[in-house]
Amino acid sequence: MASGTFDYLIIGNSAGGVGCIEGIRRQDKKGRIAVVSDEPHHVYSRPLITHLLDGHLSGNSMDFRPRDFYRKTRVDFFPGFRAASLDADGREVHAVPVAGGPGKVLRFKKLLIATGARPFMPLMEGLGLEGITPMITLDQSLRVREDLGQVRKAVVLGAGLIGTKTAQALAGRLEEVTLVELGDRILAPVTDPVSSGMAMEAFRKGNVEIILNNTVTAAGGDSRGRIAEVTLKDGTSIPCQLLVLAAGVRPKAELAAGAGVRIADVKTGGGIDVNTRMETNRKGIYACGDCAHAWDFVTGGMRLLPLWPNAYIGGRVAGLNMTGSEYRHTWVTNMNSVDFFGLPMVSAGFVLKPEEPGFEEIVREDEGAYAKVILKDDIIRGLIMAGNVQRAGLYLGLMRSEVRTTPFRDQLLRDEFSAADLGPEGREEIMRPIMEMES
Amino acid sequence: MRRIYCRDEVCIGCRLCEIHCQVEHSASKDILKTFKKETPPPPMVRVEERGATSFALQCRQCPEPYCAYSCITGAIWQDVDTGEVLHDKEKCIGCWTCVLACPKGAVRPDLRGPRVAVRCDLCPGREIPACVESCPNDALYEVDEEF
Repeated sequence: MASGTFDYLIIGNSAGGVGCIEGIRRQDKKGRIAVVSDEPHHVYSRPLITHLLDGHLSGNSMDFRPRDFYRKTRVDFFPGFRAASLDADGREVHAVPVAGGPGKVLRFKKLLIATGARPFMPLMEGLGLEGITPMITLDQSLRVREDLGQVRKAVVLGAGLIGTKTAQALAGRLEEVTLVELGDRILAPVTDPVSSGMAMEAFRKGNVEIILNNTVTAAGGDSRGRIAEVTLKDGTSIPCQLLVLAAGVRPKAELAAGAGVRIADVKTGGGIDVNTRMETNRKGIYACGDCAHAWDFVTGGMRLLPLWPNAYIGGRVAGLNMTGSEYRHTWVTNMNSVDFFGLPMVSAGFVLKPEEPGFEEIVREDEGAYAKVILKDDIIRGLIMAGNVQRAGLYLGLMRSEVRTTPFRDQLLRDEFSAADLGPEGREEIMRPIMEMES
Repeated sequence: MRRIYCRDEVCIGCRLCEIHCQVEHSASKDILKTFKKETPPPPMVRVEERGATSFALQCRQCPEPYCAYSCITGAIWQDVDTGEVLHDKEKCIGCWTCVLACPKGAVRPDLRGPRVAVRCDLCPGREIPACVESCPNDALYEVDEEF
């Protein structure tokens, strides 16, 4: 059996893996790095896979880094290999080719587990029919794209980020797209009722039908075994030739669990338990991204944050720490930015005012634009901007630095609120480049 | 790293820096054509103003570029060897994650045509950036710093 020994081994070839490589190479130009990935592709942008569906993107524009990335960063890349088992004491990973054939033993000094997430598959009849798919890998998106010739009508289950982006992309290609959501509004984790309402309006104008407070309970097929309709919880049936399942994701933590790496309680998300240095309870073994927990600086706790920047920065911090540095990953919260049919929307931290005493909110509504900040003790704890997202980062920066906004609180949502409102010290801070990550 | 600073005590908020930035990044690079015939690009520098306070703000060229660390497509990224932040507008989809990630508020959305993020590019090909050169009060100046 082939084998190799590496200073750094990375399982997973997505944002976390790239962050880790770039973090390591910042400090260590020589150490041997290997990446093992169960996908056969060059590193691609996972958030872009839905954009493939509207026909505007070609294969190469999915690349998250140029094609010479592994060569330039001197990485041994093993695409199409699944990490089948991890021996945390013996410091080795057994990797087997997805397509079959002999495996490899990869020995490591430091390990990053960035195995990502798998789609949550809802309980429903007819799940085995053709034309039913999750939407989290490039291959799934490519298959749907190839298949679109047979599709006139599609149903998307779940109105989170993946579901809404899928519906947006399909709307430009198909006769009819229906988005079905169990909750009472779309994009619930990143919106409040007002911004969600604006998004729904944008979707309806974009020719997507939205059905709330409902779910798909069964799929029925045609004589060739392809989906022909779905039945909803309330008994409605919708004809369709494609059903995209986007009812959330769950961390892929089994490999870590099998090796005795501590997993967080399933009630708190069930991801791999890490500290803010991104190290697990096993020294030298790190985890990041959708498979692991991360520190949310707004809630002040560890949680799942299945977001691209969280994966990248978590991986980067892990990589830097693997080389002997001391950095902490305390930069993220529930933060998102999207653009639906020309409606830009960002949110960060709390999107709904928490019930506990002491929280306040300031809201501004204009024609086509909405903004809200949630404050506690005059410190920003939540942000929503829709329609106009200029300087959104300034608010998030104030949140992260826990700046007391008392002197300029009344200006916060005024036109052109800017660094000029922050006073001399705040201004000086704005002019200073970011020289270091949090340590 | 080349970096542009502003002496706010002599910035009068005339916004000539914004105008000349737009001209420099326009199709024609001609001031009249830019504003009379074309749709001018959004300025990469912005004069921030409140009352008597005004100063020009553009990308701070952070050695730790969170815009790049947050980019979901790989359009903005930092070269591992040189530390240079690269920006491939062809890859930008206008998701505005970088606009949210920049704590300076220095990345802006360009809403003309294909929606892309814009950040100061220090005027490639020019010895002195357009904003610095056009500032009538010498409020803007450029320094070459070690990091």
